Amino acid sequence: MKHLGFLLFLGGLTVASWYASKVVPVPEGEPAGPVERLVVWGKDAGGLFGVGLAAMVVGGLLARRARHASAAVAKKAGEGKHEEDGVGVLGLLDHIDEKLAPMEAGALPEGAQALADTLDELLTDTVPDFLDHREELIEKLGLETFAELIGQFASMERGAARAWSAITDEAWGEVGPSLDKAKSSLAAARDIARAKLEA
Amino acid sequence: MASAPAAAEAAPKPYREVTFGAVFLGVIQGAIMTAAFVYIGLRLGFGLPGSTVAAILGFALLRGVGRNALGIEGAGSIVENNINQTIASGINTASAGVVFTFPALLLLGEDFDVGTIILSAIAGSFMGIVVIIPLRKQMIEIERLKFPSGVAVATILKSPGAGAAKAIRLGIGFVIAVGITLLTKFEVVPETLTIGAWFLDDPEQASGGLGILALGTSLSLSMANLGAGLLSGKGGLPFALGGALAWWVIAPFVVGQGWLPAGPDGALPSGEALWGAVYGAMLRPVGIGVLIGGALSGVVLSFPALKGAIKSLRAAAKLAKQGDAASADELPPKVLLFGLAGAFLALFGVAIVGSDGAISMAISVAVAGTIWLALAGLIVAQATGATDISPLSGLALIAVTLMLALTANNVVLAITIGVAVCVATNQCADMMSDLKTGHLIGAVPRRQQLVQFGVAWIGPAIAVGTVLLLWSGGEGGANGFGPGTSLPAPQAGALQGMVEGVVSGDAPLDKYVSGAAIGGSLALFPISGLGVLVGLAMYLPFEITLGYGIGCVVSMGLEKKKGRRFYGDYLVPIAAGFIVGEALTSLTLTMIELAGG
Repeated sequence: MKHLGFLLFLGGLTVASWYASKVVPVPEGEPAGPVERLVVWGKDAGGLFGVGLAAMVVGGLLARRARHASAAVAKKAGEGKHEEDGVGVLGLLDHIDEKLAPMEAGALPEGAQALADTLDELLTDTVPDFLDHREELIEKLGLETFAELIGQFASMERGAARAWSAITDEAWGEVGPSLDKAKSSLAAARDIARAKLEA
Repeated sequence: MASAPAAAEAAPKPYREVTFGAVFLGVIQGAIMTAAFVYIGLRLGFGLPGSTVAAILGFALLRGVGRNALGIEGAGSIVENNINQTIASGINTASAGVVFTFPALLLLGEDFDVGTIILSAIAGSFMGIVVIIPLRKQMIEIERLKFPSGVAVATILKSPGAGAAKAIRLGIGFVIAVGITLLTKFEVVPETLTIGAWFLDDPEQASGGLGILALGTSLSLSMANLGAGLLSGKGGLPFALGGALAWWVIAPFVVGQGWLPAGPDGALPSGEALWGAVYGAMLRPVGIGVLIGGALSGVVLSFPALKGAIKSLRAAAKLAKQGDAASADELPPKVLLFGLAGAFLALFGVAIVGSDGAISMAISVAVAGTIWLALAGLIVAQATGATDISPLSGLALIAVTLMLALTANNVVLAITIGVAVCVATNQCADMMSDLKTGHLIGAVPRRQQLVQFGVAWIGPAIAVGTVLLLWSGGEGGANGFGPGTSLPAPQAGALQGMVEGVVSGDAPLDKYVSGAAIGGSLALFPISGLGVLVGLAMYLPFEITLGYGIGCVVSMGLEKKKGRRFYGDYLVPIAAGFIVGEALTSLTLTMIELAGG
């Protein structure tokens, strides 16, 4: 169904674009305003343009349906074990928490370079790993809850990035509060996910 | 890093972010760049990016002079310099919006009120920032768009702590871009490789489907373009494929069928005229329609996400009220409501003045203007987020066309509203890019937005003033720019031509409507932002899309083969170097050229 949807969509897009691009001149002697151009074009090219558009709509809906269906299968197959084996929403957030929780500003400035490296790794590797599951998370949580969760998650990212910047600028007093903010935002993201999953 | 014992003994110092120095330097840089970029825009017809220049000068002045010469402890921090570049680019972004629209009024010889134009431009500047409030969450946090220029500026800002290896890679990218840009500017190598034309005996006589296939296949040697593709990777691929669809599938078929507008002699065009007809009369107007339809249906489909974004803005505002400083990152949603109401009132005021008190017309202009502005902001944010390219001119043309229709061809009012829309959309693109930079370095979005609010009036006032000053430089205190002068004002000339075309009934409504239907349907396919990306690909010449697409494919291949770490450690600094190197070289060469007359 996915491939059929894609083919229909692509074929429809091609045909619709062909006929959309067609320049149909207004017959001489008739008024040539914008509305008249639209009417003349519609009479000449509108039919096949509509066929292309319909194929796009059907193809697009089929592709969406196929995606929902495969997500549902994956969800069913993973029910009951995802959260335990650490690949569910909470598992992914726990994985980030494992990296973030030990980070402390107390040892600064001695451990500054090591902390900056760990923050860099978190932001460059771990965060994108989480974001790779974006579509899966939307399927699982719904778009509205995902938007709320990702707002807190982004706040965590900003906190971690600010801690990194503060270390680079040797503003040691800023590092602790920034790390605290990152941790509390991550906790808030986990709360949002947990509330939704338990509902 | 600091020497440990010395730093350990020092008391914690406040982290410098919004400071007098950052604001002052940002305003000065922004004001100078606005005047300079207005001049460049009137002379050459394009705008220039200001963020990179501001960020680099910020390091030299805030960090170098402030910290070392003036002894201000902690001066020139990463987040402080970010505020400086946010302000500077926020001010100078008005130059492109004003230069594209306002000079057309002067060229058309219309009577207008300067105060109303400035009010309209300032209203647009504020509205651009307001529209961004929910879009920031949607585009940066939820959709995770790349905003390549924002990433490039963040890479510069982070360079003091990113390590020598990344700095070297940034430098390598920079040097390569400077080299290629110099080679193209001095015509050692062409700016565009006309790849398809290499296979033609006589490109000027090329015709038919194969002819347009060859003529349309070209590659821009822009390193910034390649860099944007490298940073975008997989997310930018639909844009590249949209270009291939437009120039390798649609154009050959329609030309093969003979569906072209005939020339004055009744014959079908060939060579460059063929390319111009396919692009100007077919792909570009359909592309504008696809952009609009894609953005509109994107709003409908992402409504739950927008609802979630507003909900989290509300929650953050509530926590901030309760004293949770960590949640004070966001501007509250009521700013959005007040801002939109203010936008409506400002446009209403402009429309009342422009329509000699016709209240019903003023209301319809204000409503349509506000809605279009929000939609154009969304389109620009999505387009720059995914590709770093802003379809500013197309959106301004639509705004003026729409206003001409609503005002029964009141040219002055239509262009005055067009000024607001153009300034606002450019402000959206700039603010979004700055916020992406801020996200990557840990800046507080609320602070960035507030400083931009504080200076949003400066750029429009300077830009309008500079245009008037240059206009009055001609004989008898007028005609200082336009055809036949040293400042040809090409963009305003294009708008002038379009206005004259619309007034005489020449708007391609069929292309806009059919394109919008395609854009709406594209949104049904489960790829976020597909309508805007394909629309943008149809709107642009293939030379840009192809270069960008090569960057996307190379990025995907390298990331797959070498892993994610390679993307962050190698591709990001090199691509940032490409973008910054080309921008600075182009700016420097332009300044030298202008200084030499």
